[in-house]
Amino acid sequence: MSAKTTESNDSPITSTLTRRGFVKIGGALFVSLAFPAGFSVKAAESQTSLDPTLPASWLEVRSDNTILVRTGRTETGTGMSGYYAQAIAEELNVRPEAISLLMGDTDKTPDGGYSAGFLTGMSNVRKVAAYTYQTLLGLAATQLGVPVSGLTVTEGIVSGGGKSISYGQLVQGQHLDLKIPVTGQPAKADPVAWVGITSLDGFTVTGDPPLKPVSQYKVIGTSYPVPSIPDKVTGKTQWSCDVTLLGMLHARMV
Amino acid sequence: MANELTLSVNGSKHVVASAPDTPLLFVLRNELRLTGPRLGCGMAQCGACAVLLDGEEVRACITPVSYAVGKRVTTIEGLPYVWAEEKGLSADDAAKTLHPVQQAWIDEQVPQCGYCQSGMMIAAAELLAKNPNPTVAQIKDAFTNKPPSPHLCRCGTYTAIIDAVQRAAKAMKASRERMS
Repeated sequence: MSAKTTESNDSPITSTLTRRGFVKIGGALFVSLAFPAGFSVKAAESQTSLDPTLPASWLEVRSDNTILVRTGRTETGTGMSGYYAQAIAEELNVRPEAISLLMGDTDKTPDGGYSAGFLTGMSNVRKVAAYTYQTLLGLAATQLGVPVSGLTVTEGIVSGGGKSISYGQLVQGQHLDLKIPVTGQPAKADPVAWVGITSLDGFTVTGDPPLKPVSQYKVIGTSYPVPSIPDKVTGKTQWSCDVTLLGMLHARMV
Repeated sequence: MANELTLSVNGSKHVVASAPDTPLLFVLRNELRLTGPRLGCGMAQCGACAVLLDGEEVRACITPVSYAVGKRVTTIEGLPYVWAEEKGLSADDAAKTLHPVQQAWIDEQVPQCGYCQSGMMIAAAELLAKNPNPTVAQIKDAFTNKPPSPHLCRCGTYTAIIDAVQRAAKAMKASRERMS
């Protein structure tokens, strides 16, 4: 199955949804990067933590109605762990509590570039969520037999034509892949470059998926406690100086 | 040379093999894996490493481990147990509770990067144990003028800290009134 997920004709770039297969238990919609034609994937062979092509996805909508978001950026105290969840929740029409974030572990996340920039980072995750939302609407339209224009979504439940279905039910028993168009180059070590790394900007999501109008915002603009704070007040948060690796005797940051 | 020292940390006994002049902070972090106390300046000038020794704040980065022998060491990880003990809670309940200072730090959303906040909460716990109802001036005084140095926060969370200390003071007072 392949479907355009943007309805408007004003964007030449669209995301692509494929069903990789059916599964007996669980199910999920995986959202990942569609690299431009001619994109160098040499980094994929290097198996380093800077490799952007290894991570499975930016976002997963799971059959238990949880949503996992992966970002290479870290919570450095600016509240990103709160406002990323808020921005994604807004576009997906779910509560921010439904979203868990995996941040900064670039062995498991896409390359996010440097951990700065509310505006660029927010714009990226917002677009990822918007593409995903359009895909979920498309799936719901098929399941419910109601056109997308006749659907409404409240806290992850899609309703239309007197019927309703949750995001989790939409992906139940399936393994769906949504490819999001991006531009950018993977970061890679380069001893000559500034701080020894090139392409620190990470990837930028392209295209213009329909975004929720500000007038309809329910989550952004309301108070949402920063999810990273409880671990900081109990001493559980790990800083880079707290990381130990198997067999490690001593380590020094360079 | 390394010899065996017995420490009482967060209510548990630990035997460590460390040279007596090893900084307490290194023993807590590297031997006992208590990473709440943090290495900031390493010269007792920032407060990130603060722990309680028999209820008194010390800077663990310059305190020899031998000085902690025979005293009760409390790190940020152990603050819930301090409160649980005062409340007479069981060990199981203690593991599920937070010290009112920690809860106030969440409620006031104090931490930004959070690196200094372990020391800030240790200082707050010490202050409130000695002065259950401090004024804003007394809070500022405790965090800035108490030797050996002010507690520093480069994120600039100072006003939130003052609010959180006052919130914790109210919560502790209310809790004690309920108990009595």
